[in-house]
Amino acid sequence: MVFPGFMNKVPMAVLAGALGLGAALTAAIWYWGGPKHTEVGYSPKQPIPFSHRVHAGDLGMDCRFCHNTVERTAVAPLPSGESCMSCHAFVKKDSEGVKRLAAAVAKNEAIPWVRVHRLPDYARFHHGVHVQAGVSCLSCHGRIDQMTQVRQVEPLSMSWCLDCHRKPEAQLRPAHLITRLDAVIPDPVATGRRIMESRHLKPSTDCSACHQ
Amino acid sequence: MGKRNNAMDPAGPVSHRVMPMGALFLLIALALVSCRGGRTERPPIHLNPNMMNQARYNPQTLSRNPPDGVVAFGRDARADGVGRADLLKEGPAQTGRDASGKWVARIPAAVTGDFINRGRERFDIHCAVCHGETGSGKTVLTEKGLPPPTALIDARVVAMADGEIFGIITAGARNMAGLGKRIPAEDRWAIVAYVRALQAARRGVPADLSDSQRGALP
Ligand code: HEC
Ligand code: HEC
Ligand code: HEC
Ligand code: HEC
Ligand code: HEC
Ligand code: HEC
Repeated sequence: MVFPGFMNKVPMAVLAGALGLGAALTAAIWYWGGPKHTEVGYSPKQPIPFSHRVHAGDLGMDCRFCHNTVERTAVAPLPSGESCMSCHAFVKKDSEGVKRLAAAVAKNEAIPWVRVHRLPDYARFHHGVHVQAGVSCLSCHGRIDQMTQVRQVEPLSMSWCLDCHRKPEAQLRPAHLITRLDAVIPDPVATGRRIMESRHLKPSTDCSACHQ
Repeated sequence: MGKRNNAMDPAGPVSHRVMPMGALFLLIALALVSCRGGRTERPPIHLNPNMMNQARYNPQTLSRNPPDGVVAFGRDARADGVGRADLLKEGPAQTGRDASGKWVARIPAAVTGDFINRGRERFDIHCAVCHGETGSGKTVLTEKGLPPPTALIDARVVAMADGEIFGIITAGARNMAGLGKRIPAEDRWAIVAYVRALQAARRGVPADLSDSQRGALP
């Protein structure tokens, strides 16, 4: 006998190990390789520590005070520095962040906000269509009004878009609650059905709706 | 795995080594599972960024090479929304002034229930933060240092022409910054209509009452 007896088990052990490792690797890539891990959670530090929690939460400002054309245009615009100064010319004038804001406005410079949510350039998205249809900011951006630093909470992947386009009922609200992120809708599915019928909504699943 | 080792070597030292290792492995896996989608400052990694970033300018990104003869027009101005077209138009509906330069006395639009409701929605978005939902001028912002906003139910504002209130929304007044670039003109008129409604509600004009109610007045 050239090989010791335990060598008989080696091929089986190697096979079992390889299978196990393969399964573990597949599971790991499935779990952590997709946009639910790679996209969700991105929360870059901003040049000025602007807090939605303070402004949209505590002060109760409406999203549309700052993101003013979100109901009509594809892009939800970020507010200009001047619009912040309507308050900050007086409020918290000697805080570090507000000083930086005031300096940028005085020099007529854009504030280099770091982009958080970003679709690839080959996908087309339109805020106005969704807001008019009754989809709340909450469905796609989470509880922004509780975030001190904006964080992405949805994967923004194609399957995520399609999940809602196929079954949007539970996500639709009456117009006056679109920006009330804390509102509780009593019976979301029935409410959504009614809205879908009255506005004749039919979210498209054609490739050309989102890719051109 | 533990089972097989046990069969091979019941009570042997292998299982003692394997069991804690298995438990450790499970713990690590659990810890990793919970970090799915955790907060991070690092931008998402795209292994295959084909056509993600195309050679074009996206909205609200800085243009590095403005073409010759082009003037930047207010960052809030956009081709499809408020801004350019709105600011370039002339006439009482855009400026709040008539041909002789006086404030127009009346809103140059049909004041319907829908119009006032639109005004209410826009007022709650754009004015209520500072002036309060009832226009009383009392909000937390004054405690934080904002000069006291005028109470919109004040007799002085009641006496203003509709065009003047429109003008104040558009261009501001002393310590109030103008909002004209951010609110389209028709919405500004709708807000004026709602401010008038707030004032009427506050004053409680007798014309609002029915005949029998008016009879009951002292
Ligand atoms: C006082 C003005 C203001 C208000 C009110 C406000 N925002 Fe913002 N928002 C900003 C500014 C400035 C930024 C850019 C800085 C940042 O990302 O924090 C921003 C960023 C965002 C972003 C991330 C944009 C990106 O880069 O992807 C989202 C999403 C957003 N806001 C949603 C909302 C929602 C929803 C509300 C209402 C609950 C709201 N905002 C209210 C000023 C405001
Ligand atoms: C309606 C008035 C208002 C507007 C408009 C507004 N803010 Fe504020 N902001 C406040 C108030 C009030 C506070 C202070 C809250 C507190 O006391 O903690 C504040 C706090 C801040 C702070 C923290 C200051 C500190 O160090 O405590 C920053 C930074 C800031 N705002 C940035 C901005 C930016 C950027 C914008 C424009 C996108 C903006 N604000 C628009 C009212 C406003
Ligand atoms: C149906 C999902 C959806 C809804 C509803 C939605 N957003 Fe967005 N939002 C997105 C996506 C997707 C992006 C990234 C867009 C891109 O990269 O082109 C985005 C981007 C943004 C941005 C960054 C600027 C931009 O347009 O790229 C802001 C600010 C923003 N949203 C605010 C809002 C506010 C405020 C509301 C509610 C009034 C809202 N969003 C409702 C999906 C949504
Ligand atoms: C929470 C639900 C929801 C999500 C998430 C969502 N959508 Fe929509 N989308 C709708 C609804 C509702 C409509 C309105 C359909 C209509 O007007 O008939 C719509 C309409 C559209 C339209 C206009 C085309 C049409 O059917 O009229 C486009 C383009 C679009 N969505 C793209 C996207 C993209 C891209 C994403 C992912 C980033 C996305 N949507 C995510 C609900 C959603
Ligand atoms: C509701 C909107 C929507 C519809 C409908 C849609 N897509 Fe997409 N698609 C997206 C978005 C958003 C992305 C980007 C996803 C991301 O960033 O992970 C995407 C990404 C893709 C990609 C690129 C994948 C990659 O990682 O390179 C391909 C290919 C694609 N879509 C093909 C299609 C085809 C084919 C159809 C029709 C059967 C279709 N899409 C319909 C929204 C849509
Ligand atoms: C950023 C806070 C802020 C916002 C938002 C705001 N105002 Fe004001 N407003 C003020 C302040 C402060 C004053 C007092 C100005 C002064 O006396 O120096 C004022 C004064 C006024 C006056 C009286 C001006 C005068 O000549 O006495 C009117 C009318 C008015 N605001 C209407 C509005 C309307 C309508 C809106 C919404 C479209 C609005 N304001 C939004 C802060 C604000």
